[in-house]
Amino acid sequence: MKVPARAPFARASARGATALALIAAAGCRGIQSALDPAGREASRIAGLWWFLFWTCTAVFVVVTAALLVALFRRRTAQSADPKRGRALIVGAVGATAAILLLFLIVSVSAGRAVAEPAGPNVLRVQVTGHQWWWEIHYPGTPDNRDVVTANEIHVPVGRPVLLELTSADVIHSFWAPNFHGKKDLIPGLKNTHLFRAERPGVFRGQCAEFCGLEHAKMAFTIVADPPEKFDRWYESQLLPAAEPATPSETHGRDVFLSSPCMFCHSIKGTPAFGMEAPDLTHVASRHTLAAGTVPNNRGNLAGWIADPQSMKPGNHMPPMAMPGDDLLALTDYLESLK
Amino acid sequence: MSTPRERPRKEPEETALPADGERAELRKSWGTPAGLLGWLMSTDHKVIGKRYVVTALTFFALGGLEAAAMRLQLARPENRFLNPDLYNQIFSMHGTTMMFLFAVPVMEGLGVYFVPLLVGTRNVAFPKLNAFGYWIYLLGGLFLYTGFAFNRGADAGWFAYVPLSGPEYSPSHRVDIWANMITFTEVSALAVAIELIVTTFKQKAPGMSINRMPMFVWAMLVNSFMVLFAMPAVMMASGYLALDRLIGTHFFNPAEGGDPLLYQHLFWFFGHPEVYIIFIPALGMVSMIISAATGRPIFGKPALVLSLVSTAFLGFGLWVHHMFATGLPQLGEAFFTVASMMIAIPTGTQIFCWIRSVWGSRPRFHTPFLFVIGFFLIFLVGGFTGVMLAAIPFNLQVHDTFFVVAHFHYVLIGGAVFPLFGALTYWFPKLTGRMMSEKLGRWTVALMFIGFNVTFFPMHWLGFKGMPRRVYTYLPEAGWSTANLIASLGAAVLAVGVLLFVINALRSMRAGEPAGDNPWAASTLEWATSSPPPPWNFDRILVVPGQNPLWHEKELSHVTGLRSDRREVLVTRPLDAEPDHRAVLPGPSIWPLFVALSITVGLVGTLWTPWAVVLSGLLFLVTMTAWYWPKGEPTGKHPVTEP
Amino acid sequence: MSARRTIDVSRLPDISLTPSALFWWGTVGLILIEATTFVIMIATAIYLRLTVTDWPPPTIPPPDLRWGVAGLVLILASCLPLRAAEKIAARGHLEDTPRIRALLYVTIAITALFIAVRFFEFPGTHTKWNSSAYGSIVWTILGLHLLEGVAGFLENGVLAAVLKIGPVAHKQFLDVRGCAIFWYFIALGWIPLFLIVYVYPRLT
Repeated sequence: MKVPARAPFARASARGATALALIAAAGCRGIQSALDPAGREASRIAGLWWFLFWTCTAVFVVVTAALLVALFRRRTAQSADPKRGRALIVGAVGATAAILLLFLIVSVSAGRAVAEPAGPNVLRVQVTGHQWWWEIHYPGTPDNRDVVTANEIHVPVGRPVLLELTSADVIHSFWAPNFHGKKDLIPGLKNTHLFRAERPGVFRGQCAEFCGLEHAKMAFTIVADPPEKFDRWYESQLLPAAEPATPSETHGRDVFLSSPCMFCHSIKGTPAFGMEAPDLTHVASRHTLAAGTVPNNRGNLAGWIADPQSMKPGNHMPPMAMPGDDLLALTDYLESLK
Repeated sequence: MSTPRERPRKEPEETALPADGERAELRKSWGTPAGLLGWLMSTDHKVIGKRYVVTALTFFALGGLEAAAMRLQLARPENRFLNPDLYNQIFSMHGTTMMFLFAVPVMEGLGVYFVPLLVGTRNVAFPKLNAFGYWIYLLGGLFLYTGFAFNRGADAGWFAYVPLSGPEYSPSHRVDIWANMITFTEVSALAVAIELIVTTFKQKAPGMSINRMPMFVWAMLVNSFMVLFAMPAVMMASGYLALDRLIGTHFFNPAEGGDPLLYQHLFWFFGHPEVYIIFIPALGMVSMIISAATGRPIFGKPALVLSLVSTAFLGFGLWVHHMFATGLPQLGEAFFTVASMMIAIPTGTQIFCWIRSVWGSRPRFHTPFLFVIGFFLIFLVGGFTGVMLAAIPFNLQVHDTFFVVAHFHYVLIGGAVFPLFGALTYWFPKLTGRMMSEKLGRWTVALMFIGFNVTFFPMHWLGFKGMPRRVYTYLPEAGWSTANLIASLGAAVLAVGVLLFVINALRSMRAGEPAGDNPWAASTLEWATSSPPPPWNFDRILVVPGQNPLWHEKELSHVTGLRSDRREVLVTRPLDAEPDHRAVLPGPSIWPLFVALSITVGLVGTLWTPWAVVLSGLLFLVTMTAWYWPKGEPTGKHPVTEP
Repeated sequence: MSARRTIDVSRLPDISLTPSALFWWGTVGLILIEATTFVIMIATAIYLRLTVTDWPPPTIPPPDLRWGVAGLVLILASCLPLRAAEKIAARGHLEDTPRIRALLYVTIAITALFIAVRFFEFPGTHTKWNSSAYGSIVWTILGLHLLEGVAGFLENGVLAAVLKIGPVAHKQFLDVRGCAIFWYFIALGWIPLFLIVYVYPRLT
C-alpha cells in the first residue's frame, strides 16, 4: 500500500496510540486483570497481547489510510490500470500472510511457554465446581494432611500450582486473570491447569462459563503468599475447628448442630459432616462469603444466615428462621472458626 | 462500456413492452387472489421475501429491546432492575433472537426477494416450499416468544450447553421450547437454501453464465451451501438434547457413557459456519453497493468469488476455536489456530479488492455507501480481534469475557448489520418504488457508527479487566462501572440511530421521492424492471450480454415464446445458462401454511407428550398429500425424455 | 431496435423428465441435507465409542444380525422395481402409467416388509434408548432411518394413488423419478448406518 500520505499519518497515529496505551495501561491495574500479571503465565500472555495489539494497530492505520486515499483521490490514468492494482493486491495479501505467519509463530511459542511441564515441586490443588461455589481440596497424601476449604485458594509464590479441575454439576470455568487464562470444569472429566505466582497479593477470579442462575456470583479469592506464610496457613487449616471459648459460642455450636445446617456443611471436630455446601471448619479465616459475593464480616455473616436468598437469589441455601439470640450466638460461633 | 453515471434514466415506456393483452394475461396467471385467503396463499417470492425481511426486522427490534434491558441492568453495579432469572432469560433470548430469528432470516429474505430478480427469472424454483419456509419460520419465532411471554423464555444461553440445559439442571419447559424452536428455524433456512441453489443454477437468464453472476447471487449461493451442511448439525444437537430431556436418552450424560463435549462439537460445527452464513451475504451486498456507488465494475471479481468460497470451506474447519478452554489435546488445537488465522487471507483479499474498486473512482457518498464505509472501519477491528482470538494462550484469557462480546459485535454488527442497513437503503426503491431520505440516512449512519463504537469499544477493556460474559451484575469494587456506563450510553445512541432508520423507512414508504426503475444507475438486472416489480418480475426475460448487463451499450435482447397464460419460467443450463426447457411453476396454495401448522402441532405438543409426534405425522401426511395432489392446474405436455 | 436478436423458446419442451428438471435438483438438495444428518449420526456413534472402553457396554451383546441383514436385503431389493418404474417414467409415455403403478406396488410391498422387520431390529439390539449412550445412538439411528423409510413409503404410496386416481400428467412421471432417487438414497444410505449399528460393535 504505497501511499504518499502514509508516513505522517502513521507517525501522528503512533503518537496518539502511545498516549492511548499509557492511559489504558494505567487502567489495566487490578486484582482481577489480565493485563496486570502476577504470574508467569499471565505475563507471557500479556506480552503476546501487546505484540498482537501493536501489530494490528499498525495494520489498521495502513489499511484505513489506504481506504481514505482511495475514497478521496482524484481519478488518474494510473488508477485505471488494472495490472497495477493486481500487483498491489497480491502484495497486500502476501503481507497479510506474512503477518499471520508471524502471529502463528509468536502464538505457538507463547503456547509452549505456558504449557511447560510442572516439575516435581508442584503443589496439587483439586478444584470442584458447584452451582455456585468452589470446593477447594489440597490432597495431603501420603500422610493424610488434607485441607478442605471453599472459594479461596492459597498458593506459595514461586512454586508451580497444578489445579485439577472437575465439576459436580454443570460446566464451570476457572479464571484468575492475573495468573492465567481459563480452563473449564466439566463433569465426568478432569482438566489440569498450571500456573505460578510471581508476587504476593490477594487476587480475585470468577466463573467464566455460564452455569445458571447465579453465574455472576461465583467468584473466588487467590492469596499468593511467601512460602513460609503459606506453610503457616496450611498448618492452621489442618487443625480441627476451634472449641467454643464463650457461652455464646457454645450456644452457637449447639444451634448449628441442632439445625439443618449440619446436613449440608461440615465442621471438622464436630458431628457436622455435610458435603453439599462449603466446609466451615475455618470459615472465619476466609476473605469473602457466598463465593465472593460479600466481604466476610460479622454483619454480612449474620445477614447471610438469616436471609441468603436476598444476597444471592436462587442459591441452594435455604433461609434459616431462628430466634434473634440463636442467630447472634451462631454468628459468634462461626466468627470464632479462624 | 459506457460511463453508466451519465446514462439517462430509462423510462418504462422505452423498454420492450409486450402487447397490453399479454400483460393482462401475465397479470392473470401470476397474480394472487385478493382477500385474506389470497394473502395466506401467496407464493410470490417478492411477497414472501418482504415478509421475511419485515418479520426478521421485527425480531431485530425485540432483540434490541432485550439488549437495551441488559445495558440498563449493567449500567451500574449491583443494579436491581432485572433479577438474575429474568436477566438470564433476556440474554438467552437476545442471542437466540439475533442469530436464529433475525440475522439468518433477514439475509435469506433478501435472497428470496432479490436472487430471482438478479438472475432475471420470474419466481424461485419451488414457490410452495418457499411459502412453507416462511410460515415455519414465523411459527417458530411466535412459539419462542409465546414461551417468553409465559415466563418460559430460553435461559441457558443461545448455545444451551449441556448439562446446564439438560433434564437435571433445566427441568422447566424453557429449554424444550428453545430446542424445538431451533428445528423450526433451521427447516426454514434449509428450505430457502435449496430454492436459492436451484434457482441460481437453473433459472439464470440466458447468457448469464456462472462467471457473470452478480456478487450477491454468488454470496447467497455460497451461503446456501453452508446452510445445507451446517444446519443439520444444530438440528441434530438440539434433537439429541430434546431426546435426552423428553425420553431419557444419554447422549450427553457422562454417567451413562455420554459426553457433554459432544454437544459443543456439534453445536460449534454449526455455530461457527453460522457466523459466515450471516456474514457472507453481507459481503455480497458490499460488492453490489460499491459497484453502484463507484459506477464501475467491482475489481477482482474472480478473487472475490474465490474468497467467498474459501471462507466457506475454512468456516467448517475452525469450530474448535470456541472450545480451547475445554482442555482438548494441544496438537489438535494448533490445527484450529492455523485454520482460524487463515480465514484472514480471503477476508483481507476482499478488503483489498474493495479498496482497489474505490481507488480513484470518486464514489458517490450516498447512504448505502456510507454504511459500507462504516462497515470497513468496524469490521477491520472485528477481524483483528478475531485473528487475535485464534492465538490459543490469548484466547484462554479473553474467552467468554466482554472482550469476545465486543469482538463478535464488531464482526456481526459491523460486518453484517451495517451492510444490511446499507442494502436495505440501496434496495428500498426496488422494494417500495420510493427513495429513502438521504438526510435522515446520513444521520442514521452517523448515530449508528458513533453509538456502536461507544457501546462496544469499552467492552474490549472490560474483558481484560476480568468481566465475564453473561453476568447479571457485578460489584462496585470491580472497577467496571464507568466502562459499563459508557457502553450503556452508547447503546442509547445506537438505538436512536436504528429508530431513525425505522422512521425514515416508514415515512419514505409513503412520501419518499418516486424512484423510477434504476435510481442508482446500477448494472444488475433487478433494476431492469419497474419499482416495485410486477408479480411476474419482467415483462420479457432479458438476455445477458456480459458482466454488467445494464451498463451495456446496446439495448438488451430478450426471450420470446415463453407462455404468459400460465406460470412459465425458462430453465437454463447451470454453467453456461443456455436455454434448456421451460417449466411450469405452481400457483398460490394454502397448503404450505397447513403443512407448517401440522409440524407445529408436533413440535409444540412434544412439550407434553412424545406421542404428539404421531398426531403431527398424521396431519402432515394429510396436508402434504393435499399440497401435492394434482388439481388439474396446467402442466407441461411436451417432455424432455430419456430413451 | 428492430434488429435486436431475440431468443425464441416456444419450441423448447415444457417439462423435463431428466436430471435437468428443477424437481430433480431439489431432490438432490434434500438428499444432501439428509446425508449430512446421516454423517452426523455416524460421527456421533464413533465419538461416543471413543470415549468409552466397551462398545457395546459390558453384558450387552451386539445387535442380532439376523433381522439386521434381513432388513438390509429388503431395503436394497426394494430399489429394483423402483428403478424399473423410473426407467419407464423417463421415457414419458403416459400409456405406461399402469406398468409404473404396478412396479410402485411391488416397491411399496417390499418396503412394508422392511418396515415390519425394523420393528424386530429394535428389540434385537438387546438394549434400550434410555439405558446408555450406546443404546441412545443405536436406537436413534434405527429410529431416524425408520422415519425416513416411512416417509419414503408414504411418498411412494401417495404417488401410486395419484397414478391410480389421476389426473395423470407428465409431471407425475417426473415425481416418480424424484421419489425414486430419494428412495435410493434412503436404501443405499442404510449401508453405512448398518455398518455402524451392526458391524462396529463387533470390531473388538
